[in-house]
Amino acid sequence: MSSDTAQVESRQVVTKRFGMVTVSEDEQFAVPRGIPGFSTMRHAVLLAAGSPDAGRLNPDEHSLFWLQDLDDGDLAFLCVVPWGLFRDYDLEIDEEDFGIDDSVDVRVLNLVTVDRSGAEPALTVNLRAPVIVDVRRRQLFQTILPDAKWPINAELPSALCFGAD
Amino acid sequence: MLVLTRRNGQSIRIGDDIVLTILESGRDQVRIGIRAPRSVAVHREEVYEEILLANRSAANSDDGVMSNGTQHFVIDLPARQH
Repeated sequence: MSSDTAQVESRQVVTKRFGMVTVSEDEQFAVPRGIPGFSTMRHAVLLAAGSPDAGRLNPDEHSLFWLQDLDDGDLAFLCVVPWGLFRDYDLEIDEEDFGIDDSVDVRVLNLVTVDRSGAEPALTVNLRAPVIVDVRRRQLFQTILPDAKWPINAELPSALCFGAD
Repeated sequence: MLVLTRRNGQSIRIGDDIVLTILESGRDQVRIGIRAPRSVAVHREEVYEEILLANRSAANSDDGVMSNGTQHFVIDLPARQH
């Protein structure tokens, strides 16, 4: 039962964006409940995103990640740590809803949508349905906040957009 | 679809641990109380649907530029900055 005693095994996943990715068991996150629209997603890894050329995001404040599905290599979500980008973003969750014992283990990510249909790529962030990450038990959950004031498609501040130069 | 008729104050049990109770019903509105385990997410359907669609478009994002040069390594997610 305990993962402490289990052998750390790695798995290799062929991904659409990153080619072959080797992920050890202790790098994985379980996604016990899937996420809306992708209920079969059960294992994922967070990959750091962005080369130095990727944009002007400050990596200390505006960390970008790929949430890569390990069961479906084609499926990955760009996501962002919200705090540096949306200063007034504030959410209250009940850790117990997610089986989380201690709030220090909680991290929050928000999924990003990139729309390239216009002249400039437009990035929006889903603040209504954050991804709650339990870094100790290595589980993640997407939750829907009851407060409708948080937009599903909050625009990223334009100065922070990618490919701006 | 299973259709049941209930009166105010009556309930419906779904499985072993989910109970829906009709608290109040009016002409075109019903108030429903829901008792479910914490692990069961309960949402208004239209909100859930909206999130589902948002997730789909996030998954289909065109992201060619940003995946360039991405490396994979164990990350330590930053805690909230105050």
